[in-house]
Amino acid sequence: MDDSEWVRRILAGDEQERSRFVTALHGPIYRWLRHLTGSEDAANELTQETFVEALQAIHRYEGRASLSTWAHRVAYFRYTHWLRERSRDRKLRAPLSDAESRPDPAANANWESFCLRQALAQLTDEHRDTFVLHHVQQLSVLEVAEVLGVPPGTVQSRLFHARRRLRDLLGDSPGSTLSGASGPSAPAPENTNIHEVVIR
Amino acid sequence: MRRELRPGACKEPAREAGSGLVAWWHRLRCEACRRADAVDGVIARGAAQMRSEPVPSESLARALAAAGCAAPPFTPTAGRAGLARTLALVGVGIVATSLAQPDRIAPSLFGPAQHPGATAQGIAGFWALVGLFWYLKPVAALLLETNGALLSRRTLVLLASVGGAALLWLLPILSPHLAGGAAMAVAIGMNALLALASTILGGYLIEQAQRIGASGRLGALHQAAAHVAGMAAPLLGLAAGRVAGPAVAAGLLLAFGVTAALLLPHSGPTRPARVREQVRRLSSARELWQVALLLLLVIGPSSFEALLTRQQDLHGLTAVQRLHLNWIGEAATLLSIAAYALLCRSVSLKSLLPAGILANAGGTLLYLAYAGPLGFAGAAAIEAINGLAAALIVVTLFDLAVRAVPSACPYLGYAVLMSVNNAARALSEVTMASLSLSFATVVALSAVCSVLALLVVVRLPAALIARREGEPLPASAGNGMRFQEYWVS
Repeated sequence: MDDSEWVRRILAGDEQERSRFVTALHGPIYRWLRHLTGSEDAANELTQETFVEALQAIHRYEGRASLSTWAHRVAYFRYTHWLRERSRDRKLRAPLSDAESRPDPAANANWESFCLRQALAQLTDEHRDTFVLHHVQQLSVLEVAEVLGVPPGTVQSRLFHARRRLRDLLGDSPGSTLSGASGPSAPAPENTNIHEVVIR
Repeated sequence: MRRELRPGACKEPAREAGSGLVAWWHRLRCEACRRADAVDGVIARGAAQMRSEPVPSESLARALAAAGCAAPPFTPTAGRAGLARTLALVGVGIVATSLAQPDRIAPSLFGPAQHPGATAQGIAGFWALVGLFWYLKPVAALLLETNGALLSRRTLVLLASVGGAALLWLLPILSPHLAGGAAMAVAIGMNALLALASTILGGYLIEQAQRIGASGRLGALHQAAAHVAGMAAPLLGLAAGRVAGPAVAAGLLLAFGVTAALLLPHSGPTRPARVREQVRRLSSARELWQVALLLLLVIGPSSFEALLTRQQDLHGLTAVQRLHLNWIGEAATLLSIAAYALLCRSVSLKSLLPAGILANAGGTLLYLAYAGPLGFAGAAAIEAINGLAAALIVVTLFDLAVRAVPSACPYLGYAVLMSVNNAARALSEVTMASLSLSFATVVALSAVCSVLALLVVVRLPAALIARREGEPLPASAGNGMRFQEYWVS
C-alpha cells in the first residue's frame, strides 16, 4: 500500500490505519525529538503533539514526499515552535547529561553513541539537525531538505561541515573525546553511507 | 569541489585514490587516512546505536491515546487465547492466595486465640503484624520492576514463592504443637511469600488486560474470585478443621503453582528501570493518583462493618441471621459482578462510573433505615440492594484502575492501588469506630464522600473512560480532553 492510499484510508476513518500510522512512525519521531530536545519528557510531549497535529492536518498531505518525511516535517514545526517558547535555547539543547544517558562503563555497548552525542552537542544547531536527520534518521538529502525547508545543496554543505567538525572532535584534535579510545587499528566502518556526504 | 585540507589531513585520501590494491596500499602507509576511517567508523556505529535506542512503551501508548487511537492495537484472535489463559490463571491464583493466608483457613493454628487469656485487641494486633507484608506489596513490586533478573524470571519467582508458602503450610502438620514466636514467624513468612506471588499475579493481570483490552472482564474476575474466596474461607475452615486445614491450603497452592507453570509464559518482560525512574513514572501518572483518590473517597468511608454489626445486634438479629445477611450481600455482589462482565462490553465507563457512584451512595443511604424498627426481611433487602450497588462501583473502579496503571510499571502501579484500597478500608474501619459518631452520621458521611467522588470523575481524562472494553478510543476523546469537556462535546 502506498502512502497516498494509506492517507486515503485514514481520512475515510479507518481506525486500524490510524493506529498503524502512529505505531509505525512513533519510534523514529520520538528518538529524533529526544536527540533534538535532549529531554525524554519534552520528547514525549512533542511526539504526542506531532501525531495529534499530523492526524488533524493529514488532509493537507499532497504526496510530494513520503508520509514519514511529512511526519518529520510536522515534528520539526512542533520542535521549532517549542524552541521559540523557550529562551534557554542552548541550555536545553545540551545532550542528555543525567545518569540515564550515560552508557554503563562496564558494558561498552553504547560507547560510540555516547561519544557521538557529546560531539554533536558541540555542533551548530543547523549542522546537528541536518546530520541527525541524514545519518540517524536515515533520510535522503532530498528528504532532509524537505523537512528543514532548505535547498538540497544547503543540506549537502551542512552535512560536509558537520562531518568534518565531528572528525575534528572525535579523532583529530588533541584531548578529543575519542583520543585513546579508538586508534588507527579500529575496525573499518560498518555503515559506509557515512562517506556519501563528501561533496565531489 | 576538492576536499578542504586541514593540518594533519592526508593530501591524497584513500577513498580518492581509487579502490582495491591502490587504496589498500595508501591506507597501509597513511596514518591520517587510517585515523579518519576509524573516526568515520565511530560515527557510523554511534549513529546506528542512536537509531536502535529503546523507546519507552508508555510513550507510544500516550501518543496513541493523544491521537485518538486504540492503545495498544488489539489482535482479537490472540486476545481470545490470551484472555482464556489469563482468566484461568488469575481465577485460580486469587482463590489460592486468598484462602491460603494463615488467618483464613486455619487461624487457630497460629493466632493467639488458642490462648485463653487473649483479648480482642491482642488478636487484632497479632494479625495486623502478621499481615504486614500485604501492605508492603509496592516494595516487592519496585524490586521486580527495577531488577531485570527477577522480572524476566517472574514465573520462577512466582513458583518459588508459592512453593515456599506451601512448604510452610506443611510445618503445622509436621509439628502440631507449633506456638508462640515460631508460629508467628511461620505465619509472617507465609504472608510475605503470598504477597510476593499476589504482586506478580496482579502485575501480569494488568499487562494482559491492557494488551488484549479486557480490563472489565479481568477486573470482574479478580473481584469475583476474591469474594468467592472470602465466602469459602470460613466454610472450608470449618469443614477441614485444624488437622486438614494445612493440607487443604498446601493443596490449593500446589494447584496454583501447577496452573502458573502451565499457563504463565516462562520468560517475562525485560524492561528494568532504575528506582528513581520508576518512582518518577509513578508520580507523574496523574490518572493513577486520580483513581487512588476515587478509591479513598468511595471504598474508604463505605467500610463500617463493626458499626453495622452493632446495629444489627441492637435490632435483635441473631448470629445466624447475620450470617445469612452476609451471604445475601455476597450473592448480590457476585450477581452484580457477573452483570458487569457483560455490561462492560456494551456500556462505556463514562456512563458506568457516575451511575455506579450514585447507586453506591443511594445503596449506602438505605442503611438509615436502621434508625427505625427493622426486621430480617428489611435488613435482607438492604443487603441485597447495597450488595448490587456497592459491587458495581467497586468493579467499575477496578476496571478504571487497570486502565490507569502506566504500562511501563504494571506491577508497581497495581501494588500501589491495591495498597491504597486496603489501607483505605482499614483506616475507615478504625476512624469510624474511634470517632464516636452515630451510625446515621457515618452512613450519611459515607454517602456524601461517595458523591464527592464525582468531582474527581469529571477531571478524569476522557481517554480513560470514553470507550467500552476492548473498543478503540473515539477520536474526539483523544486530545488530552477531560471527562467534563468530552461529556459536553
